[in-house]
Order: sequence, then structure tokens, then C-alpha cells
Amino acid sequence: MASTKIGSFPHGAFIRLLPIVPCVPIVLCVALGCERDAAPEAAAQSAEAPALRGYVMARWHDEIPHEDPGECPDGLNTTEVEYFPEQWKAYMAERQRVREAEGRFIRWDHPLLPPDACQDPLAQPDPGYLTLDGPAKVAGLDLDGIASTSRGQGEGEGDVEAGANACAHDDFTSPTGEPGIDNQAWRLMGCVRGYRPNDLMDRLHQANTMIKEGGYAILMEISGMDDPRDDDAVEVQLLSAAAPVTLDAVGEPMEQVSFTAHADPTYHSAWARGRIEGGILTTDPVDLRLKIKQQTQDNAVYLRDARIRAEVDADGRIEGIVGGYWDSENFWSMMNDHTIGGTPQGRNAAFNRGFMCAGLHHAIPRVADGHPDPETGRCTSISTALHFEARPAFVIRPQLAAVDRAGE
Amino acid sequence: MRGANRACAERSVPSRGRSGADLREARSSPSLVVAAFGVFAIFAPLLTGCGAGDAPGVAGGPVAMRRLTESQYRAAIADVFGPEIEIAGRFEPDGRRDGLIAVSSAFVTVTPSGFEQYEGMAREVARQAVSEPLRDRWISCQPSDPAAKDDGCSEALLRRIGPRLLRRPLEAADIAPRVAAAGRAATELSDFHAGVELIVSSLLVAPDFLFRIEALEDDAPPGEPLRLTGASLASRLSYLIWNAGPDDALLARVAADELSDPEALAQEVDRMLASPRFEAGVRALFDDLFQFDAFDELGKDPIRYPMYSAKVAADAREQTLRTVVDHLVEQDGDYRALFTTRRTFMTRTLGPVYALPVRTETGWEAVELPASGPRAGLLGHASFNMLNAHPGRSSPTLRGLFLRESLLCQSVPPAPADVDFGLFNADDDPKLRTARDRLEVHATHATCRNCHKLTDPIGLGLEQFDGLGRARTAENGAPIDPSGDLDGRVFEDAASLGEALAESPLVPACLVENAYRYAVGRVATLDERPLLRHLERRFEAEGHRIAPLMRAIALSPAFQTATPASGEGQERS
Amino acid sequence: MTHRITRRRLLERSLRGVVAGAGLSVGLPYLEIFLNANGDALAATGAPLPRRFGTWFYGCGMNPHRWNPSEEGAGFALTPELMPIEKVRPHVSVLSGFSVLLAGETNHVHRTGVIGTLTGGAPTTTTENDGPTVDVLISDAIGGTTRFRSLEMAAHGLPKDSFSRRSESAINPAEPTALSLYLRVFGPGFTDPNAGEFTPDPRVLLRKSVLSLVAEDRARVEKQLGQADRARLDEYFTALRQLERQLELQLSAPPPLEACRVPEQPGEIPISQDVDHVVRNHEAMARVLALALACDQTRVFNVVFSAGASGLHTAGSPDTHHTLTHEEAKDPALGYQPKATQFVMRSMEAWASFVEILASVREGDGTLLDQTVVLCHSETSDANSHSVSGLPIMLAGTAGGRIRNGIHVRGAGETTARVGLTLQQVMGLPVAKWGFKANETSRPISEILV
Repeated sequence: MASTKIGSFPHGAFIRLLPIVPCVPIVLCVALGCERDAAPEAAAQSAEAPALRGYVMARWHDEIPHEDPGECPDGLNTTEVEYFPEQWKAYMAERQRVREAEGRFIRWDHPLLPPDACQDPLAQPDPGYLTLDGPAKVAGLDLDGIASTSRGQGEGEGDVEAGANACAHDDFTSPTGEPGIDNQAWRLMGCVRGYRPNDLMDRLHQANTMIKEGGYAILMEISGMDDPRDDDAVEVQLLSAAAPVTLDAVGEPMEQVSFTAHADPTYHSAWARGRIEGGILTTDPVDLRLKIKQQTQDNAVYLRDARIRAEVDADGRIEGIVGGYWDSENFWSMMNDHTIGGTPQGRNAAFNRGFMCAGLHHAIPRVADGHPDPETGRCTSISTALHFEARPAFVIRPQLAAVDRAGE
Repeated sequence: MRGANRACAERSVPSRGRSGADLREARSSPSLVVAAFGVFAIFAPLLTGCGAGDAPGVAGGPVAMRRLTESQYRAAIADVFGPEIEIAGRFEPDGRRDGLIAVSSAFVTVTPSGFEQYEGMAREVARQAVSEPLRDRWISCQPSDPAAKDDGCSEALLRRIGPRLLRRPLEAADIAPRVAAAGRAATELSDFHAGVELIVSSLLVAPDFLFRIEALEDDAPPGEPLRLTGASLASRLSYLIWNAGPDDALLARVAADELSDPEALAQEVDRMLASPRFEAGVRALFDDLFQFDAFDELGKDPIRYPMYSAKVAADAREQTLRTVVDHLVEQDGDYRALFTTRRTFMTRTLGPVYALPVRTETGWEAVELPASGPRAGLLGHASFNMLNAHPGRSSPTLRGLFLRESLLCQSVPPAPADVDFGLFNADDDPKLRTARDRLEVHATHATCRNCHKLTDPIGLGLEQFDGLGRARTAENGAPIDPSGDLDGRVFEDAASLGEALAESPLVPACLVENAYRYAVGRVATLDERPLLRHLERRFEAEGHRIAPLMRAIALSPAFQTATPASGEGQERS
Repeated sequence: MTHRITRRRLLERSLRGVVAGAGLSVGLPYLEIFLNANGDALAATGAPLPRRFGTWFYGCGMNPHRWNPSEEGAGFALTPELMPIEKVRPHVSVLSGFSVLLAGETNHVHRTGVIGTLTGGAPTTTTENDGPTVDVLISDAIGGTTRFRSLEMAAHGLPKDSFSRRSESAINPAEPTALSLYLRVFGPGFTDPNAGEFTPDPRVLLRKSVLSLVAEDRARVEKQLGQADRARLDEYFTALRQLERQLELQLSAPPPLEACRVPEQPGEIPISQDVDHVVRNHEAMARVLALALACDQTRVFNVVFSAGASGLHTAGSPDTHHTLTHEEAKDPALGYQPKATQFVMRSMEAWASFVEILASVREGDGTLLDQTVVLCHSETSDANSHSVSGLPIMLAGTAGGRIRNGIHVRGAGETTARVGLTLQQVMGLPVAKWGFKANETSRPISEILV
């Protein structure tokens, strides 16, 4: 049985993606980004306003609400355990039996269970999927510049015709009352148990577990920031780091640490044009691929047209939101591509979080709101928002990093 | 010649630093002082000069019996059995006297629990040393039967390692009982190497391994100073220059009784100074002088100093030692310039404390501290500033005390027993925001002022660095004023305090005094004072470089001779 | 060689030493004879009581905000999930906030936490350990003189769930029931330790002969010295003599083990992961183990109460502790998963009863627990997110007066390898640093050391 891929984007070299990056001319990377890569050191050592300022993300996680998450009048999504109770009961008994007799775990793609939809999403019929519908508050950015409503619900002022880049969707209101928030990822996951307040994902975020346990480390560099309150032309780059953050004596990510950026430039964004007005940094959109390696996952998150809105504080820390469009295919992969020792674990991860892979697969195109396919007109990305907190650090370009030069 | 001698002898012993009262208490009885003067009188006519040329021919003070420090113990094992041997155990505290562990080592003893540790470590080292393949490093003979004893092979390997561990040629009494006991063990356990283990253990718990026992030749003509035995002199040399025991070449000189020949001695000293091991010797001297052993017990309040970790502390210590060794040995530089140089070394662990980027992912890289920054010279290093501070804040008093005692060789009296700590409500007072404000009580209260005027004004010069050694310009929102004066020399900040130290004639003189203490394991006697003056001049004349200073100490007559203290009953065999 | 010295002759020589030593000791105050340098209490006959080490594992951690005490030191208040240890509180120290530092290694869920704590670092693969577990290191050092180098038991009945291993191919299997443990220790192979023949350890004889070699050289060394240094050397030889006396004690027959008796044979308890069965099986096992220790059959033990990713369940329920931690919704009013947390409470109760049982056996002037230290640990803190930060760790027993009980120490995110290092040092292993990669440490937890 063949699986259906949602969207199809090239996964090759970073440069191949550039033609589809809006607002960032190729010449920018060539002229500025690559040249800067060559010698950031001398500047960073100077005590004057440095040409380049580096940061490490002390926090970086989905914007999901701790409270007032919005209503799920039909309840939460079910898992396979409830949907196929007989098969799962038999499977769990067998799992326990083998474990006791042989001290090992049987696979999740086991004949006693229905086919594993996390590996092959069309192997099961669509069981349906509950999205978070109706008005709700969630943080994020207004990515498409309009307050949209979905086609047919009609009471909003904007709709699908208004945004050339938008498939039909409802916008949210931010916790501070700002309308037009594009965050379809929350609409998709808002009625999943593991994403509810104080449940799995929220707890991971509150405890900052993924960064502290080294699941990912993300760097940022800002070029040309003369005044952290007001500067009409800065440039910003986001990069994966080669090694995890360093924790201090109270367990918090440490400032002023030197990080080597990831050796693969796929995980360095292009330099985004930005500006600071009254201490608020905003940037133009760029594409973003960042390495994620945590627990059962070794993957990279792919956001398209990602942009920053954040506040620069007096200590040089920057806190705010990265909003962008999460590539649908990548979203699916991030939800399901889990393995332990080569054995697929997506099914395990799905019931830990509280959804069914088959349902999620069919729900993704229903909520997608970005990057319509020119031929089919179907959207291929999902608006989302990430919360981040950046602290001063040093970004070392991999070609300049030295392993054990020993100072001799 | 005579004139120069007289000038040298007539130079008064300055009041700076310690005098007769600082002599080792155990040996500072009035009779010793008398005896010391007596010897001086006898040898005065033999003095051969005191300019930048020959050292004055004064006799050295009393010999010492020094317990190996932890690092010396480790070096001995690594030298003989290889660096792979793991030494795990608890060493007894080394203590510190007259500013140095090297002096304290001549006072410390071995307690029952300390001996248990030595015995356990000895067995563990022996077990590793005879295991495959480490044994091949040092066991050159093959036993005729590995399951039986082989006295010939046992004796051969004992003769190989014994002199290295005991730092002297072996005597018959060292050999026969050990070979016999090894034979019994091999037979009992049907294992030749069990006997070898026994030999190794027996050397490693022996008093003449654990202690460096200095002995004197007994054949001096009447009126001549007593010379150290060749083996004792060799140990003095190798611990001064390498902080390790004599190597085979040096022991060969001892066996051939060649060290009494001045030319042969000079050749050996030059060979040792040219050896790569000289770095370890210089490192050990400064680790001791800077009291860096205190790093082993350092702790910081994690809330106030979240960047602190044991690794940060270890790297801070290493940074300073690396800078010292690089400057004094690699670059053969002027000691005084250590207080102004911006060249140092950095790791990724240490980088955050300095807020500097570090390219090297693991290990060290050389860096030049930013000229616009507050740091220059050793005093700007995190090491001193975190060590001479409290767990939760900086301490101008501790920093000033360190500068006075360790870098200037000035003594600061201890705080009076009846000090009124009620004068300090400073921490709770929101008006007193900087350390300078809070220490005002020291400056205004007569009982405090006498001593704190020595420490606080210069310590306040380092207030640009917090209790971890991170740079700052303000404390509790109030700007920090790091200016002051060092005995009349005005400075504006930490960097210019470093310049003031680099200009001070006391700084090189103090290193000479400490290096001599370090070399002989005690403070200089009154007799040896002219030698110190001489060494100071030599140090200056040779550009304040460390190798010539070590050479001058090693070749001075006082280093090679000793005064038997009266009433001490030095027995001569 | 005609004068080959046989074991008998060596022994005779040592016995003469014992007699001589005994003669010398007449008139010395009790303390000096019967306390060694570490202050071990000695039994009436003068030989040291055996010192012991154990681990006690349970699966799926706790809820950090309900388990971690907020005050440090002796006066800390018991938190909701620590309430079960109230009855043994003076015997237990709580170590919170110690973590397996991943530093780039993958968090192999339900494995990294337990193997990390026991081997001193985050495992780099899902299959192989990066070193032996701490109990193996300790039994290598102290387990050689007893009948069993170590004893493993699994109260949940699964023999393969043993974490004690030299490597993945050398796992020490666990006894699955109290009965099987009883039969292994007190079955046909058991001989009354108080009735056995004594054979002195030839290694101890060798140690003693090393000291004799040095002692005989005293005069030669001494004659070079002045009075002050001669006094220092006297102290050295006094220390040497004291160790010789300790070795002499080890060369004489050990004292009777007063607390040793054969326990009643436990009844059959069904092997099941029903938590009620596991609790009963565990308690019966603890009673057999306590007497196995009292009879000095082993000095190292490993108890698994429940596995990592714990399969404990309540009768009739399809949910296990593990699946509940992932699937049960958090009660918004309570702020935790009530059913999953019930298993945390049952685990804490079992731990407390284990400690209580060891403390109930009198030995010398104190109890069996006094000469023992037991490490209680789990593979996660918050099991729902598989966190290996701030793992729940407790120590019970003082290891012969070396460990401070009744206090809480906060680890502030430091490596759990500090715990393993501390335990090895307390058990007398000559280890200065332990752990690997980011978890390597040379700092024992000094707060709990006496």
C-alpha cells in the first residue's frame, strides 16, 4: 500500500531553496551572509558596539496556552487504544508476555494490531480528527496581514479572497487582544490531550526540558545593531548549534558561552533584514531549518517565511515570537518519525500525546493555510508560532572553530 | 674581592619581610641563632663575591625532612610506572607555612588514617604496575617460571625502580629482605608477579619514599660547611627544577659521586633547566606561591554566581599557570611583565566568565585580552579574584592580603582577637552599596585601620572584578571606584595597579625570597640573607628571568650545604 | 630451595604476630584497640563488622513539585510524595536535583536515567553500557570474601529486570521471588558461618609482610635524623604499627555473627505485576535478604521493586503505572495524574518498609542498617516527559558511620555520578573520580559525608 505524501519540497542543498524564499534576494546571502561568515571574531572581541552580536536560545518552544486554551466541545481526540480496543488488549497482553518471558519488547507494527498508520497513513481508514474550532486565544503573529475567517463562516471582514497566500482559516486573538493571529498548528493540536494546559507538551515547555536536556540548541546572530532601542537596519540569522547549551549552577542555560554553529549550512537561515523600533525587533521572512535531536527523534524542523517579533531588553536579552509556516510534510514527519534503535516508535508517541496518526494525516491539509501549490491550489504549510528567549553568547562559524588547538 | 665581600656583608638586613623570628619554630631556639652567627663568622673570610657574579659562600641553614606532596607523589608514580597508572586515594592535607606548602611539607607527618591511605594506594599502584601490558614498561627480565619465584629477576627489577623511588643508590639492606619476601610471596601464591607487587608496595610505603630525607656528608674538613650528600643534593635539584625525583642520568651522577664537582653540577643544572620538565617545576612553584591548592575546596553561592562550577575553577587555575609557564619558560620573559601582559589562554568553559568568544571547542587557545577591557596581567585573571573572595561576594581585604603577603612578602598582622564585628552591619545597609562604602569602617576605626590600611586600599583596586572574577563597573547600581595607591604610587584601576606592581622593586625581591624558601623548605636564615640580596641582583641583571634565577639558587653554596643546628643531635654515621 | 615456606609456616609466623600484638595491646584504652582509624565499631571480639552496599530501584519516578523538598539540611519538611518515609526518616537522606547530564547524548527513554546513574554517564547506545554498574565495581572490591559476590532480586518477578551488570553480556540475573531467594541463600549450600573453619587470606599476610619489611628498616632511616624529624618519623611508625594490628585481626578467626539465623521459609507468592503481590513479595524478600546479610552471605545486593517503564498495575485494571504516566489526564484541581501517582506512593511505602526491615535487625551496638548504605533511585523524575533531570534519589544507612542520614541535599542539576562516586569512596574504593564525558566528576557529595 503506497503512502501519500503531502506536498513535495526539495530536500537538497540549502541553495536550492532560495528561489522560493520571498523577500530575501539571493544576493543578500552571497554578498553579506557569506562574507560575514569569514571573520566575525575580531569584531566580537571589541568592546565597542560589535558589528555582530551573538545569542543562544535559552527557550524555544511552541506557543501553546497554559490557560484558557479554547473549547473542545466534542472532547479530545481518541487514541488507537480506544479506537481498536480488542486488538490493543490482545497486543498489550502479548507485549507483557514476551517481556516477562524473553525480557524484550515486541514491535509496535505488530500483526496483532491494525497496520501502523504512523508509518503508512493510508493503511487505516480516516477515523476523523477533532480540531480546535471557534474563537480562542493563542499567541502568535499575524502572518498574512489580515484577520481571516474561513470560507462559509462569513462573519469576519476578511476571507480567503482577501489573502493571495491564504487558504481558508480562522484567525485567533492573542492573549493581549491582538486580532489576526495565524496559528493553525494550535488549531490542529489544541484538542489533543498532550497539548492541553499542564499536560505533556506544556510541562516540557514550562520545564524547558528539551533545551536543558540537549534536544536542540539554537543560535542567533544580529548584524549592525548600533542601538538596541532603535535601529532602522539590522540583519538577523538563526542557526542550529553543533552542541547543546551549557547549564549553569542553578540549571539555567548560561550566557556568554561560545557555540560552534552546525557544520551543515542547511541549518543556518539566510540573513533576514530587520529593524528595531522602541526596543521591538522585527524581521522580514526567511526560511528556517533547525536540527532537533531528542529522545526518540532525530529530525529537523522546517519553517517557511519565518519572521521574528521580539523585545530587546536592557541586559541584552531578546524575548519574543518566531512566526512562520510549518511545512506540512515536515510537520507530519515531526509528529511521527520516532525510532528507538531503528524500531519505529511513532505509534507509541501518538498515544502518549493522545491522537491517531491516520486522523492527523487527513486533518493536516484541512488546516493548512500557507504556500498554496500553484497547480492544485491546496495549501502546503501550517501557520505556527514559537516562543523564544535569546541570551548573549558567541557564535563561532564551523570553519573557524578549532578542535584542540591547545594554545601552543 | 675583599671590598666586595665587605660591602655585601655590611649591607643591612632590611626590616621588610621576616627575620629571625620567622625561622622554623622548632629550630629557632636562641642557641640556633647563636650557632648560626657563629658559622657565619667562620665562613665570612671565605666569601667569594656578592655582585652579579658569584654567590656569597654562606652555608645553608638546617636540612629538612619533607613529606611528598600529592603532586610529587603522582609524578613519582608516573615517572617510574607510566602515566596510565591511576592513583586514587585521599592524601593528607599538605598545610601551608610561611606562605608555602613547600615549607609546611617539612613539618607535616603521617597519621594512622593517612598511612592506611598510603598503604591502599601502594597496593593499588602495585597491582596496576604488574598488570599486562603496563608491566612491560619497567620489568625487563622474564621470570624463568611465571608461577614461581625468581630471585634474580626480582633483584634486577628492584635495582631498576628502587633508586628512582627512594631517590638514592640502593644499599644491601634495601635489597636482600625485599627479594626474600618477594620470593616467599611468589611461592605461596604460585605467582612471580605477586612477589613483584610486594616489592613495589614495600617501596611505596617506605618512609624514605614518602619523605624526602636530607642527609649530610660527614667528611668535611674542620671549619668547612657540611655538604649535602650527593643523593640529597640531587633531590633538592630535581624537586626545585622539576618538582619530581631525580632521573636516571642524575642518579648516575650521584652514583659516580660527581655532584661535588662544580662543573659537573653546573652541567646537570643546565641540562635540567633545558628539559621539558622544567615547565612542571615552574608550574609547581607558582601553584604553591599563589596558594592555588585552595581551589580544591573552593565553592561559590550558586544563586549569586551561577556561572561557577568546579570545571570553571579548574580552568581558571590552569589559565593562570599556563600564562605563567608560557611567559616565563616558553617566552623566557621578564617576571614583572606578568603583571601587565594581556596574553593569556582561554577555554570554552572559561570564556563566559571573561565574556570572550572562544573558537577552540576542546582545549586551550592563546588570546590577547582586549586592550579596551579592564583586564591586564595576572591580577585581572579570574583565578585570583575568585580565590581571594567570599562565596557570595568579592573581598578587597582578602585580595589585598594576598598581594601584600604573597607578591610583596610583607606581613600583615592577624585580626585582633577582640575585634568588634558589631561594627559591620554593612550588608544590611542600603546606603552602603559598594565595597568601598562598606569598608569605610576599616578606615575610620583605629583598631581596624592599622592593618586594613595595608590591605583594603589595594584590594579595592580589584573591585572591577566580582567574587567570581567577572568584570563589572557598578555594584548595587553604584559605580565602582577602583583607584587607590600602592605605598605612594597612585593607580586608577586594576590594570594600572598591575603596572604599579610591575614597577615595584619589592615584587622581584619577593619572588627571590619565595623561590629560595621553596628550594630549601624553610625561610632563609640570617646567614642566608646576603645570599638573597645577591640573588636579587642577579635576577635583575639577568632580566628577571626564571631560569637564571633557578640556576643561581641551585649553584649557590648555601643550597649545597647545611648548618647542623646545635641541640638537634644530627647523628653522623 | 629447601626452606620453602608453606602456607602453614606463614600462618604460624602470623599467629606469632597476633600473640605479640595482643601482648602489646594490654593496657591500651579500649578505644585505641577496638576502633580503627575510620571509627568503625567493632564487635566484642575486635574484628570489624562487615560493611555493605545495596541498590533499590523503582520505576517511573515521581512528580517533581510534589516530591522535591524545599528546605535543605536536617530540618526539611517532608513533601506529599515523601510522606511514606516519615517512619524511617532518621535513617534516610534525600538527594534531589541530581541529573544524568545528556550533553548531546540521546535520552534513551526509561534507560538513560537508570543506566546513567549506575554507570556514571548517559549511555551512548541503546544496547551496550559504557562501563560496569556501580554495584559491580563495589562488589569487585568488597564482595570477594563472601559466598555470593552480590545478590539480585526483583520483587515484580521478572529475573531479566536486573540492572547489575559488568556489561550487557554479563547481566547478573535477579531472583524473582522471596522463596527462590531463600532457597539460593539458605538452601542446601548454606553452611552456618559461625561453625566454619577459618583460613586466613594470604593477601593479608602479604600486606603484613610489606609492613614488616619497612618496620625492620626503622633504625637505619632514623639515625640520619635530628630530634624534631625523629619525632615525626615516630608518628609514621606508630601509624604503621596500627595498620599492622588491624591486619593481625583479619588474620585471626572472625567473631561469631551474632545476628545470623536461618529465616523461616517464605510461602509461595504468585509472580505477577499486581502491585499488591509485588509489595508482599518485596517485603518477604527484604526479610530473607536482611538475614542473608546478617549471616554475611553477601555484602552487595540489588533490589528491583518495579521495572523502568513500570508494569505495575492494580488488580483488574488494564493500565500500568507506565501507561498511566503517558495516558492519564492530569487532574486540573490536583495538578497531577492521580492514578499514576498512586504507584509513586506505593513505591515510596515499599522503600520505607525495606529500610525499616534492615533497621530491625540488631547487630553489634546498632542495627544491620548502620553498617549498610542503600541507594534508592528511579529512571525518570517526571515520567510523563521522560525527564532525567532532578532524579529521585535517597540513601539509607550510614555505612558504618560514614554517611549522614536524615538530611536533604539539593543537587542543582549536577550529575548523578557524584552519588556513585560518593558511594564508592564510602565503601572504601580508592576512586578519585568517576563517570564519563559530561558526567565525569571528582566531587563527592560532601554534605552527606560524616
